Amino acid sequence: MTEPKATGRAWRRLLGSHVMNDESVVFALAQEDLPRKRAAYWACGLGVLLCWPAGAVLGALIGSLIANTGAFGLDAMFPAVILALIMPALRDRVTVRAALAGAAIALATTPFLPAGVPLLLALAALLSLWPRRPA
Amino acid sequence: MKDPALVVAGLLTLSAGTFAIRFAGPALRQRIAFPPWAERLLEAAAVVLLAALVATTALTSGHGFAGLARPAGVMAGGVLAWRKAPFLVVVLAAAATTAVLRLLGVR
Repeated sequence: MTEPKATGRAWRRLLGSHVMNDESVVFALAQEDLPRKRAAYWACGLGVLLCWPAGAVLGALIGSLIANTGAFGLDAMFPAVILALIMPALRDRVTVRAALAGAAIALATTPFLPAGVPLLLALAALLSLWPRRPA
Repeated sequence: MKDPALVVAGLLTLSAGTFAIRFAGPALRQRIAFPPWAERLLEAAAVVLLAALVATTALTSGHGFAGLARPAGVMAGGVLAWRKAPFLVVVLAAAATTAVLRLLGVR
């Protein structure tokens, strides 16, 4: 949503909307200029489009051969990827305060709410930016 | 939920809705000009959402605590990312840290 220019126009926007996901948006956000944002968005979006189903098929085929997939620590990869990609934005003091507050809200509400809702509640942390809004 | 037609109808409705929401972002964004403070707020919103995603996927599993090994691995990756280590190093170090901790018996 924050990277509209990355998707382009017409039919490219149709496909661009289809490949919009956490990874493609965050990779685009991490780039500095528009051509790089666009390249990152499409490379990542199309990459996920191919690799995600392929990985699921592969997992279904060989998953039963591996007794404990948790032993490889693969579950730490996804949060680490997202964390590494928002790191440039987190160097800003005001943003990091809002991000920490949002993370705290999400963690505090996770035990009681269905998946996804805590993330939306985290947006309440944006209120911490309000007084700093220039008129 | 045993009626296949109902399942397919639900599937199509949900996929159309999801696509429409995603499509609306870029489509509306090019028609509406936001004042700079709103643009700043939207950018911060993306970071806040992603930070909350990191926190919940690192620390929780379902509705409970995920154990120590996973957040420790994510933190190791975070420290490396802060020190501007290459992306692949960050991701592999996170997985390796978690894997080693589990090998040592940390859950």
